Amino acid sequence: MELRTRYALGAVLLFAVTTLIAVSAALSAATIKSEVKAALLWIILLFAALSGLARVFVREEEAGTAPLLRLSAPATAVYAGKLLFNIALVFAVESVSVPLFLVVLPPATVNCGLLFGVLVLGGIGVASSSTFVAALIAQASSGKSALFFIVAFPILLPLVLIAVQATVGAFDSIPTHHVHAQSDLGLLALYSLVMTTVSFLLFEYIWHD
Amino acid sequence: MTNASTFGPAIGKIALLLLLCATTVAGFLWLPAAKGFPQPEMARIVVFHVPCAIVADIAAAVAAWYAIVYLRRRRFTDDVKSSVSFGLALLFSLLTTVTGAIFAKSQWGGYWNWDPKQTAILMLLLIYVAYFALRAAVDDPRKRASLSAAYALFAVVAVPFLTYILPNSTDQTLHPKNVINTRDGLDASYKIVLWAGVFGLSLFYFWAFRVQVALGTLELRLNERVRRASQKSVAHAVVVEARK
Amino acid sequence: MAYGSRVLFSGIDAEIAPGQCLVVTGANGAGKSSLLKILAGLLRPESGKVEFDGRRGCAAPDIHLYGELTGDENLAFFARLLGISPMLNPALLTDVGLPPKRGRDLVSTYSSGMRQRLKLAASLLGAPPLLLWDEPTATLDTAGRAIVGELLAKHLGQGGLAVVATNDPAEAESWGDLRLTIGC
Repeated sequence: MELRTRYALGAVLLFAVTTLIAVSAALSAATIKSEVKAALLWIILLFAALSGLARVFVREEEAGTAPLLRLSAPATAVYAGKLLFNIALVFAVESVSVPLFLVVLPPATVNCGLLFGVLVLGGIGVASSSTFVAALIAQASSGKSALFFIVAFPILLPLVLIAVQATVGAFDSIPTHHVHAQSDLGLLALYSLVMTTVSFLLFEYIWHD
Repeated sequence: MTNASTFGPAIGKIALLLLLCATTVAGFLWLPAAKGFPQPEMARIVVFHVPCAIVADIAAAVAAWYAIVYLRRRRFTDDVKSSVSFGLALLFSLLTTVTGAIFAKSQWGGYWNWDPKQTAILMLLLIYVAYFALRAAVDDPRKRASLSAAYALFAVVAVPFLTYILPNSTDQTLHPKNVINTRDGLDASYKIVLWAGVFGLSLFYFWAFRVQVALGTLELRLNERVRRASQKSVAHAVVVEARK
Repeated sequence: MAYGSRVLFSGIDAEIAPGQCLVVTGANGAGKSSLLKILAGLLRPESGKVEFDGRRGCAAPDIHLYGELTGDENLAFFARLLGISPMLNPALLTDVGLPPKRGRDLVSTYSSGMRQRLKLAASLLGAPPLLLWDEPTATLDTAGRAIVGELLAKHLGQGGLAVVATNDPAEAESWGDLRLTIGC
């Protein structure tokens, strides 16, 4: 499937970066614990995701291009395409915001392996859940952006909590945190796997009438 | 309907009411104070809290089941059952949260502590709210049913993940664990009342479920009739062989 | 057949043979588009069945193509989705009367008549056995309308089936082997 809407990428990146700058400006003076930094990072990523990921489906419905798509391609392919795009989007946002973040709010230590793992796995989890919710609300009649937030939030928040916990392990050198972080990574991986599978299964039912 | 036939259900309802009252009364008066808690007297609320939680889970499971059935058979009655059960699940989860908060205040000093299990139930409440928000936002009944069923199933798979595994993966939970099942947990009399509570609340749930489903199906049928009545201005097709 | 809160039609029973065209006429809002959508599989009827094996090419007023892609890219995109080679696309463009060099422009720059032609081209991708056209000549000039007639004839000549919805009685007359009127 084609990847389109290059404009969306720009908007989301801009959002992520400005949030980051705002936060760092507010906090630059204080010394913050690594837990807080971890939380901040994911809050930024979460909001960036929420602002950008729903577009893949909402745009299709609103522009009227969805029906032709329904006719021309199997549902699984459509979903796969949108999902991959969203994952790529999330990774793009991460690759811009995380280095910036590390420069502006450097944590005590950075365990690159753990951090990378959390970003990848957490990113996939966020992307896949958001994509599914986007598919759901795109077919609603009104109030879509608010609806997306309401519906996605309870599903994303626990996910982000796990990611934050794991990120904490990546940001400091307390051994118990490391151990937790590793099991959290496993959890994130499992979550991503399961939710993506479920999304694929369910998508067929909501895509076609 | 004769007196006899309305008598039976009435007896049932009264019996249920008595049972629930009995459980409540027993909870406060009959049970000894729970040992091992900072505030033994108030800990008794656990006999309300736990049954509510259990019945909420049952309601959610039923709702999820009917969601699956709807997606397979696409019959609106299944959707009604699913959404009714979700509503009841919301109710019981609210009760669980409230009783939990009371418990928390008396034991740990604050109504809300961000204990992982509390966060988990908060997420659950939000999911229920989101479910109904989604339903409210879709006009077409068929779409509404399929979208909410899909969301229900999605959330149902996500939730246990994030709410059971997460709290149990950290050691920092305030919730006492394994209190019901282990032998040196609560007093035996607690268990009786507790399970009685589960039984009573489950009956309440089933009754409420049936009533609401009946209402819902009635509404469906009414809509059907309205639709068919407006049929006079509608179509029948005329197929004409034009040529050749 | 009910949809939403309105009952649209009931009791339609029709069989079309290859090489035939069924024309659907009726007042505005009677349900012609909905019928076509049901035939396309985009809407599900509450009762009744559509029995058809094979692909359907659709063109309708509320089905759009991607504005931020060019005409060529649109056709290539859908061709790839359908698993067809995009080699024949330029020929398709000329078939519907679009000059090939306009194919390289974004669809958002097209006039409504051009978009309609592109939609028709897209519906013909891969020579589907069934064509479902909803008001195919809307927004087209006289030349365009003639082209639509020719394309239809060619399709039927090749043994294809078509269901066309139109408000124009002349078209209904000249195209339709069978005719379905909805609404009273």
